[in-house]
Amino acid sequence: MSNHYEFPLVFFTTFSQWGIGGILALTCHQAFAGAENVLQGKSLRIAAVLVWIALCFGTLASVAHIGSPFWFYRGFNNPGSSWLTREALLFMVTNGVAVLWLLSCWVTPTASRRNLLLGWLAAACGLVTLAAMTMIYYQLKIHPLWRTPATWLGFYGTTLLMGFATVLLILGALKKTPAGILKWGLGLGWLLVSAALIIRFQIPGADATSYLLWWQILATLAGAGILLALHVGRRLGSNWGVAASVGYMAVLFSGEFAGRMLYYGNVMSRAPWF
Amino acid sequence: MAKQYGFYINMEDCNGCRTCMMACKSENRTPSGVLWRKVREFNEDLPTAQSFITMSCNHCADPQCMRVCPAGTYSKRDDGIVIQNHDDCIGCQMCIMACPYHAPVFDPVEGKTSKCNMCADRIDQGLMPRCVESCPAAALQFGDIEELRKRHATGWVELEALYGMPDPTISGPSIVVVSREK
Repeated sequence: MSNHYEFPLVFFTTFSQWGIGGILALTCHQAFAGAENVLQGKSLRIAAVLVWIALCFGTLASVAHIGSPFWFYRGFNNPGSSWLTREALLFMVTNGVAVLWLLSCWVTPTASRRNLLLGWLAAACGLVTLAAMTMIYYQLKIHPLWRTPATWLGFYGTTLLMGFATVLLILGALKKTPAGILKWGLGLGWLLVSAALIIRFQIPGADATSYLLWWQILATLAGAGILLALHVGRRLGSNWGVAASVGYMAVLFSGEFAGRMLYYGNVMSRAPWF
Repeated sequence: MAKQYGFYINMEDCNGCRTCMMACKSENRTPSGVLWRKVREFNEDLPTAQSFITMSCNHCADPQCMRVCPAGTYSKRDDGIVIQNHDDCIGCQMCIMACPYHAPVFDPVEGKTSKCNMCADRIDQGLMPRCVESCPAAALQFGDIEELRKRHATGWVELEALYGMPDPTISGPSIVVVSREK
């Protein structure tokens, strides 16, 4: 299999964006849902652990990209000019706050004010971290396929789409009615991912014939569109089970994963640049 | 303006013998698969049917490698040579992604990246870089880049069109290139 896809970076970016979006979506639900639909006790613990695992796995995957992983801490040396250093430092903060949020949800699921506060804080840190992650690629003037607003739209779009879809599906499996804001989050994510694709595939060199692109369109965009329609039509309820949620999430994720493979592969397969 | 050393690359005189590549490898004892200087060959349906450009690190005025390296391994000497503190490299390969000329090279065995240092030790001793010294056609020369630019003009637009040379405004490469049409 071609190593142009930069799999460690694909795992890192998709999973960490998924986790950050999940924390944001879960906090939104907890803040805006009615009392009977707010997650409590075991259900809150399960939901919080699931989105935290995504963030944690993504963060660990980043180390797999480094040629000398045991010296990873040297990557903190250049915050003055390196967006990679800034990203690494911000990820430490985000992960730290996310662990506190998880512990708070796990140990004291009834402390809703504290859980909400830590949830907002972790999500805010995550969104700032995403800006640094985006700048790593956006700053590279030699690569038009990365130095485009599509990078911003795509990264934030994945975050919202995957995070809000995950929480909608968790709530569906738990037979809870999602807060109304979740459909706006999912809808915005869908729009951002769509806009990113439209912009990126106008740029010379973008491989519009790749099966990866068409799988992203089919699995993620069509899949999320159907999920949004089910949610708006209030059809995601009594007959929706855990297996359906897991399967649906796997399909959505596979589409974003394929899209990210193409994002890296389209540039890296052109090496050397000169 | 601070001093800046650079290379003069004359494509008219380069016959693609690759002596510069091997001299560099021999001098710097780079591992298998790691070439700091490479000779690129172009074959086109044009009068310039076969052309060669020898290139290594261009010791840019605004080195993109230095800007992006998270470990801060790159620095610019007073004479403009961009050097790397190889011991501190973590092998993230950001410098490779950022360099318009794809100059840094990743060694998967060592797990680190390295690049041309313009034979800085030799220059400090008053010697020429090994690649320059070895070129039998004198197609590769070395000196103060401002002096080289006074003597030779680079047709950047032509180089971009014919050979896909990157936009020089990205990093300000310290090179003068005379293409075959000149």
